[in-house]
Amino acid sequence: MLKTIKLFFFPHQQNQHRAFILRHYSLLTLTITFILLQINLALFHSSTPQVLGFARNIYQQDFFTLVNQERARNQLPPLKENSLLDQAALLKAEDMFQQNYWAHVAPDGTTPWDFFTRVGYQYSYAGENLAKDFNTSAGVVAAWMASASHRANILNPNFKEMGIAVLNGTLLGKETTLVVQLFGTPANSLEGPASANNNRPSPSPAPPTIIPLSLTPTPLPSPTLIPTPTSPPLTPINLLVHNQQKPPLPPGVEAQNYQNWRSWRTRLAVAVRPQNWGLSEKITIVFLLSLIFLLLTDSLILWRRNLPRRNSHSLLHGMMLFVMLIITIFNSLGAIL
Amino acid sequence: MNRYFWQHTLQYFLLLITIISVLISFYFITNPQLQRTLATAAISLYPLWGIIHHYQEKNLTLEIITEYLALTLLMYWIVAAVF
Repeated sequence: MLKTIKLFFFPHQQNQHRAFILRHYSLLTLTITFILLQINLALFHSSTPQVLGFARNIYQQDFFTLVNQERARNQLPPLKENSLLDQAALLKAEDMFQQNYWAHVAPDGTTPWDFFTRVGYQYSYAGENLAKDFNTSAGVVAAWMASASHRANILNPNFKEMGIAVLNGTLLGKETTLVVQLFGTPANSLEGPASANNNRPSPSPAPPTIIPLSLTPTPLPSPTLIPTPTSPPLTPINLLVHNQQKPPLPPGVEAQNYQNWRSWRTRLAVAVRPQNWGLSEKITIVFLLSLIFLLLTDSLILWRRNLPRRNSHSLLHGMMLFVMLIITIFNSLGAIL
Repeated sequence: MNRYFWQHTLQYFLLLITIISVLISFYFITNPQLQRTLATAAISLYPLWGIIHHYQEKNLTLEIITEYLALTLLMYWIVAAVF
């Protein structure tokens, strides 16, 4: 038994110094099996299967758990789910897919606050976080927590309620899972209204109640957006609006806040956490690591035995797969805004 | 093995440079479409490199071609899935 395993995985005289698992037929079989497994996972995870892509594990309810865990760690009260905010988030996500943009403000000038207004949510404080291309809910929240401005929204003590939308679609020519997170505090009560339907399923895209946007600050807050139309993309800090005029942010603050997420060190710290990998990614990473280990072991054994095998080069195969491993791990992270 | 290795230093060097260049480029290029194009190009070069290399070594066989193609297929799949 042990001998069979040895011949299967390691080079030996009896297998002509080439492990059976690293032979051409084994590699071809392993590759085809791996691809079929990934296709099945994608089909299983999605009703509209995205065959060329990792199956994603992003669920709306996860965000309430994860966000409130972060708030609890910082001695903050939990955010309640509000069905109106869920609807507003869904409207925003649908609008992003329809108008094909990745920004807080739509190309036609629609602001996040317009969606609050459309569903009839009257706020005293409001905020928005966006994410796309992630594979897990934990990865999204970890990325937001690694960005100062998004973290400020999640840990803002002024927010009482939250709404989440997770929507699949094609954005900027790429299949993606978009996450819209809206924060709010109702205008009429410091404690906030009863959060209806806390355990309700994902909100259906019911026809929104269109309320004309009031530009006067009374009695509702004016959804003032500080940057001019020529300013760079908004970050959540300047999307935090309330019924008191906020002074403009100092120049560079937006870029600085977002920059810490752009830093490869920050991204690496989030990317290497296995809990941020989807199931498909975990399978890919384990598969690649196993192959790399076997290929490098094969090279090392031959090198130490000083055996010139005029055959393919395990070391180079291993290096190429190592590059794939790095690409897979780094691209487990999507984008946040 | 050592002598065998150094006989093809230039070919190995070129492949190594390609691999390192791809990794460095990924640090600077943030556009996913450009990254995908770069990765696909690098992956496409690998079986080409292998076939030329083994042809010069006069040991190019169907088994070796299959092996390179299997790995290339795997890498194509991963890049398509990742980006």
